[in-house]
Amino acid sequence: MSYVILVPLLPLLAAIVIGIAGSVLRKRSVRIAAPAVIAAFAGAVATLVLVTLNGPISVRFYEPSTAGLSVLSLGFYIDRLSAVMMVLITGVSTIIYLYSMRYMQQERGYARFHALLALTTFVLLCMVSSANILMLFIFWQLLSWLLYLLSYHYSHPPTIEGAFKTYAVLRVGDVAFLSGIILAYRLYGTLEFQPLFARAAEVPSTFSLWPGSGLEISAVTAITLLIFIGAMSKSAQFPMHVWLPASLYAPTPVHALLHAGIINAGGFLINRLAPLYGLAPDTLHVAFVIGGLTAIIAAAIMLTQSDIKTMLGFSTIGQMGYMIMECGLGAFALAIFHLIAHGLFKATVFLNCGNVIHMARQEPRFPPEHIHEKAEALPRLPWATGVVMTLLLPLIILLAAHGVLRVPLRDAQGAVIFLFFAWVTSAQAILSLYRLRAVGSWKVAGVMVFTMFLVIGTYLWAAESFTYFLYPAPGEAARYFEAAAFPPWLFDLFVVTVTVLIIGGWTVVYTNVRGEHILIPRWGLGLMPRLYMWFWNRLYIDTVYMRLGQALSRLARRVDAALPEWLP
Amino acid sequence: MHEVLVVTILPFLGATISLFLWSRPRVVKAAALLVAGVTVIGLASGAVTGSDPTATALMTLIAVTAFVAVLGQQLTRQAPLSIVVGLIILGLSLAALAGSQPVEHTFLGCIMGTVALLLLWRAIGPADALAWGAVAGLGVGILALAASAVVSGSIAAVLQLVACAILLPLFPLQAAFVGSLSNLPGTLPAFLAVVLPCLGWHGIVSLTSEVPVPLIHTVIALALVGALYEALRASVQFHLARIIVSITTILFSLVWWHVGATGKAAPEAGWYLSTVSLAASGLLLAGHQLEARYGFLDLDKLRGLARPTPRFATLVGLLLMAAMGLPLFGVFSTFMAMMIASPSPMPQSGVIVLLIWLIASLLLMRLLQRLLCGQPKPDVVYQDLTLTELLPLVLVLSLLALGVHVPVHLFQPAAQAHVTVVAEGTP
Repeated sequence: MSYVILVPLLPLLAAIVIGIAGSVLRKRSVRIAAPAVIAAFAGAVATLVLVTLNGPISVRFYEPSTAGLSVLSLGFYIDRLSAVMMVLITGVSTIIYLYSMRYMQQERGYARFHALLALTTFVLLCMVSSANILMLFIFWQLLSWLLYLLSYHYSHPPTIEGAFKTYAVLRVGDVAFLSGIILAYRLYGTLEFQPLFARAAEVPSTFSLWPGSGLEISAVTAITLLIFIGAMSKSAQFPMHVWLPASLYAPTPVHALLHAGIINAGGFLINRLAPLYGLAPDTLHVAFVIGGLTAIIAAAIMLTQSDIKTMLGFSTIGQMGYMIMECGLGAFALAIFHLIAHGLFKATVFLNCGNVIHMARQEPRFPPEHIHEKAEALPRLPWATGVVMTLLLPLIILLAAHGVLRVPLRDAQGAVIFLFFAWVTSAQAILSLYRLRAVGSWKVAGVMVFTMFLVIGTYLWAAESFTYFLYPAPGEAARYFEAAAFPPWLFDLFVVTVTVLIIGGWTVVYTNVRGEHILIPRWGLGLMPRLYMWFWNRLYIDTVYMRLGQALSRLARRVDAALPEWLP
Repeated sequence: MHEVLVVTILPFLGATISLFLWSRPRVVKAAALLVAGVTVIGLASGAVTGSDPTATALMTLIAVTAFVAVLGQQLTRQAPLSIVVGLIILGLSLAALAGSQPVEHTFLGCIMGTVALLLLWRAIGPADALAWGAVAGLGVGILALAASAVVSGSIAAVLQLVACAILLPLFPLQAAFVGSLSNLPGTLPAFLAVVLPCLGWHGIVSLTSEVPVPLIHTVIALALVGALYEALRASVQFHLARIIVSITTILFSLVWWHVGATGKAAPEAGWYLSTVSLAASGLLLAGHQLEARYGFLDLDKLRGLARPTPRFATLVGLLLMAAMGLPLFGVFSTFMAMMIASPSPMPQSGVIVLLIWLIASLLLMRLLQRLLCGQPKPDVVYQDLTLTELLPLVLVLSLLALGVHVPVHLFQPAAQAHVTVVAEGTP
């Protein structure tokens, strides 16, 4: 079974060969990298089959001893989660390599690019198959460094600034992650996954935030919160999302890898430590709030941007917000399902975006000027279809699902919220594809509603099957849902708020389209353009960070000037 | 014992011969390489051992650094001076590590005196405040060592600790370390970046008297305040060597924090110290290559080295990566080991330590960007490293990579718990 080590080793070998002989190979670098990654993809698929049939594979290279770092054992632990991630990473890398063959042809650092890409693939593969949390952290940090190298261009000032921002934010996450690891080792005496989970469950301990203050926190909560900050940084969660739009100038294939592979690291980390997070409901609630905030803010900012890459960047941040929200609901497997779907989708979108940008540079009439269509009279059928799909259906799902599907609302909060996700995603997809105006006949409307049901059904079936695929132990997935449950009053409040928002939103849109006016207070109307400006300026978060940095720099200079010269 | 004597005398012999060859820098360098090489082989082969495992490990490290420093020395006008003083300091430091007290203190005093004399000999003017600060600091160190010989008990321990704080920089006594490494010629700063902290560490390990508890608490506070202070100073500097030394001081303050927090000179901290000093040495060596080419190390005048000097940029990038504490290099693993060996689950000061670690990391990244990124200056003629110039930097990087697997027991003191804290309420 040790052949599985070939999966990460092949990209590493390619990176080494190109790194050494890059100046000789030049354009031929891809002939080494692409076959290696394709072979790794085939190996990852074979590993997935093997792991599914025979259970997890464990490979040890090095056992803890007096030599070296005494807590680190080197090796791979490949279970279904790792295998799925390996297939995703190598799959996305393969697509990116095939695309880069021609796309990067005129780039001066062609060989360097391919070497770094292969190295990143290797690091990602090792990260997802790490045998313990320290090894995972090692590759996690290397990923931060590689991300810096991949996304900067050393002679372009905005890129250099963006790269520093990327590194700084990721480093903050790394240090928080490191704190979590140190705390875990000090409290439980191990960094191996299974013994760590077992000891954390056996020994519930509390941790004093400040001696004598009486402020105490559960040790598992403290550890998971610190590690969660690490996940936040890599998965670009609010307010640590600023690095992703800052890497705007990176080559398109790098963006594809970043948005489809690297950014998923946060979701993977939480999944890998799912048993630990299952013991920390408070952390899960924090994750839910952070994820929710990120999703809302990023979506709002995306709507106000005009640059294609920035829009896609904020779209990714929003999707990562959803993914973290799912983790906060205890739907860990669903988060992985989401990140796979998003990864494949976003890689394709980004690679196409590169073509669009190239086309726009060569063709002055592209993109064509937007022609404002004259508003048509409101046809009843499209609106009726829209109302059924995006208003009635979710309400039915929300209020009646527990009767039809025998899912008690209060006992399965995660399932209910998940149904909401299914609805939002499907409705958005269908509406984007067909547009409301296209629904000209009952037949089309019927097909749309049917398709909607089909999509939701498939989504539910796939997600359900995937959950049992990743967490086959009886009751495991349900236990995480239970751990993430909100207090009943909060859940009720959440459901009522969302329902009111949906109905309110529809009412406003409907009356606006009909040319009627709904009573909105004057301050509410005045708020709209201000909000637009705020979101257009990305809530001024980048500015706040920049001002903070400038203030610190000024302070340092003043203090330095005030000190005597002989003082070192 | 004879082997120790030979290894100790050999550098002095080399220095004496070099004095006669002063006008032929190439020959001086070759002779010094031979001496340093033989010393390294003698120590690494196990033929020569120090007074304890820690001393032997430190002696080997110092000898290897001496070899690398001589190898990296450019044949400039300053080369013979740098090489000869380097050999003298090598001999003195090996003697200090091989001998027991009071011999050790005598040699430590000699090292401080040599460095101070060299600073004075380089005719520092009244404007060189930093160099004067260094001379004053070294003077205080010599006085502290001398005074510790005539007193005993806690006072002697405090005086010895002061001397150690001058060698292994601790706020507010960092003047000697910062001033020396920023002002000395050639590759001496790269060599002293390893020698001074190693000797300071050995001094801490060899402390025989008891250190009072309030002093230990003070050490923790000084270490943390000093790190933040140096971070502030480093952020406004524009001289490459000065920035490297300041950041190294920040990283060394974590060693002091660990000594204070654990109440002992733990082997993990010694291991961490050795990797940090090696990384600093490598960076200063790279700085020397730049200074030899361009005559200055002003970051405002020097930038954009990544494109015109790719070999240099790659090696400096890797060295900075190591100093930042990124994996694959010893600084990361030793820092992890040191933090894991810290006293309580997560002491409040531990949070500050991690913050300091983060700040140091960001300062190093800023240094990398200032040095390597940006458009190259049109008025500078860039020249990449030759293969022979690459070698010392590659050696340092290899040592840093090997640092991941250095056995902790090498830094295990011969006797247990040397920095003994007098527990409050203990009779």
